[in-house]
This record gives sequence, structure tokens and C-alpha cells, in this order.
Amino acid sequence: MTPGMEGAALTTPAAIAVVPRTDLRAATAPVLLAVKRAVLLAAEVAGLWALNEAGQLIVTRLHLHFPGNVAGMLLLFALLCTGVVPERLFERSSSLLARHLPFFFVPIAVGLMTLGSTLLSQGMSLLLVLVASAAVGLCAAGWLAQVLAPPARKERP
Amino acid sequence: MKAALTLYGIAVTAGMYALSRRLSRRWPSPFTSPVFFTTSATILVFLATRVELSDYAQAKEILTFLLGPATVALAMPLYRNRRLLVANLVPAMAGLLAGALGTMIAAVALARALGLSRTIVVSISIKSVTAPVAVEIARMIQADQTLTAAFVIVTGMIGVMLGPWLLDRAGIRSPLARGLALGTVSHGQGTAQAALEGELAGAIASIALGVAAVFTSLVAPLLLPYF
Repeated sequence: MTPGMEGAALTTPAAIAVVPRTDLRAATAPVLLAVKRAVLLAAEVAGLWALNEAGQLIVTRLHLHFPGNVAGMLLLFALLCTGVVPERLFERSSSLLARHLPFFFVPIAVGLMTLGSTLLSQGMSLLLVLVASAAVGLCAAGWLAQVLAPPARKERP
Repeated sequence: MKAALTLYGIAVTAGMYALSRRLSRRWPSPFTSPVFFTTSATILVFLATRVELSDYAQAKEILTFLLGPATVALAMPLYRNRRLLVANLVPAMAGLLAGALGTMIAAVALARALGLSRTIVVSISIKSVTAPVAVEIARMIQADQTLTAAFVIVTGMIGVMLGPWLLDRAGIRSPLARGLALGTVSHGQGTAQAALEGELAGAIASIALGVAAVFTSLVAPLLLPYF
């Protein structure tokens, strides 16, 4: 609506009916935008779901001893590298899923509630295994990468 | 009744998760991290309100539905940082393979030496892989998914609490090496920690997380007979 029409809208009976309608439209605009965003997001997630299913299918069909979801990930990586899928296509859904990844596997860990006593009796051994093996992995990866990496640029004169 | 319990299970999990996000922002610590806090708080609420694990089965099915798509989405950071990997191919891949294999062999050897059961040995072998992939490998190698998930979570916490200190002690100062080590061993939480140290460390950690997941997926089933 043009600014000049505002005064007219209050006086002419025909326009009075128009005013609330535009108000309504203005009020629903953010809602419509949110709905549009949600639909687009759902479509993105559906695309990722389809890739996951494709990965599962490939693994079963080829009788591979390999997780289907990782096959789906490699599939998406290949599609991105070949340019079949543009990077921005899964931009929103991938960052959302990555941010809330913990939420999706917490329900599996909740199964611990029945394993509590077994784990507690062996708790020290398990913790020792986890800490020591993490330390071995951290040092092995860090040390080898540092030794093999070309010296950092700032060390040059 | 069953539907009500399922809804209750979902509500408790989601509520505790929302709470953990607030807590971790206010008091950042491995113990307020969303995974650890949500898991323990949900278990405590279930125990207090006498919810059986079988009552939660349906809710678990619904909530973990997005785990597959979330794994596929891990291709995005891998793709975004691919040039960094190519530029550092030799040190990154060598460090990654050494770290992923080293931590797996150390875990299996030590667990066996301590006389832990075979289920535990198999389940603990893949504890350095990001959770959604680890539970999928667990299914393949007949490990216990729940145990694996728990070991993965604790490994993430160890990486955050112990990782930076240990790397300092070992004289590993290059951001590339630090990020790589944290991402390879402590997956998501290690990557978050590496990102705090700097952009390069965070980027290489997110690559390490993805590549280590692929590598362990390939290697774990092959090594299974020797575990």
C-alpha cells in the first residue's frame, strides 16, 4: 500500500475492509516464511534420508561388510565432488543435524540403565582401558602428523 | 498406555537435552555436555519414575530415526575442508591411520589383558568412531550397541578433559597435529575441543572424524577374528 492511501483507507468504506486484510497478510507473513523454511528443511532431510537408504541398498546388494550410513556419506561426498549436488543444497539440514547429533544417539546410551551393575563392577578396568587407549591414539596420531608435516611457515626466518 | 509411555520417554529425553544445552552454555564442562548430561539425567528420571527400558523401545526407535541422515550429512564438512586434506595428505593420513589403529589395538589388547568379556572387548574396539557410525559397526560385528555408545561418549569426554594436556606434555604443538589427534580419537567432542584451539585445528579434526569413521568401518570387521 502506498503511503498516500493510508488516510483514504480510514475514510472510504470500501477501503476499510481492505485494511484488516492487509494487516492479516502482514501478520501471517512471518508464519508463512517459517512454514516455507520448515518445508524446505524437511525436504533437505528427506534427501539425506534417501541417500542413507541408497547407501544401505548398495551395501546389501553388493554384500559388503560396510555400514550403510557410511556408504551414504561417501555417496554424498562423491555427488558433491562431481558437482551433481551443489554444496548449498544440504547446507541448512546438515548443520542442524550436526549440531544436534548428540540428541539422536542419546536414546541408545540410555540402554545403560539395565547394564549399570555390570559396568560399575568393572568400572575401573573399563576406565583404564578407555583412558590408556585414548592416550595411545592421541600421541600416535599427533606425533606422526607433526613429524611428517612440513615445518610451519612462522618458523622460517 | 504404551503410546503415553512413548510420549513420556520422548518428552523426558527432549527436555533433558534442552536443559543440557542451557547448562553447557552456562557452565561448560564435559559433565554438562549434552551427550553425557542427557544420558545420565534421562536414566535417573526413568529410574525415579519407574520406567522400564522396554517401555522406551518405541521412543528410541523414533528418536534415532535421524541418525542415518545425520551420518550422511558428515560428508559436508569433509567436502568443505577437502583442500586442507589434499594439501597435508601424507602427514594427515599417516597420523590418522596410526591414531585410529593404535587406539583400537591398545583398547583390545588392554581389555583382553584385564580379562574383560568378549562382548566388552568387541564393543570397546570401536569406541573412537563417531557415535552414529560406531553403533552401525557394532551391529555388524555383533558388539553391544549400548555398550559401544557408552564407550564412545566416555572417549569423547576423555579427549576433552585429557587431550589438550596430554598433547602439551608430548610436545605436540602444531595445530594440524593436535586437531588431527583430537578428531581421530575423540570424534565429535574432540573436534569441538579442537575448534576451540583454532580454525585449522577444528577443520582438520572434522576431516579426521569423517575419514577415521570410514577407515574403522573398513578395518574393524577385518580385524574382528583377531580380537
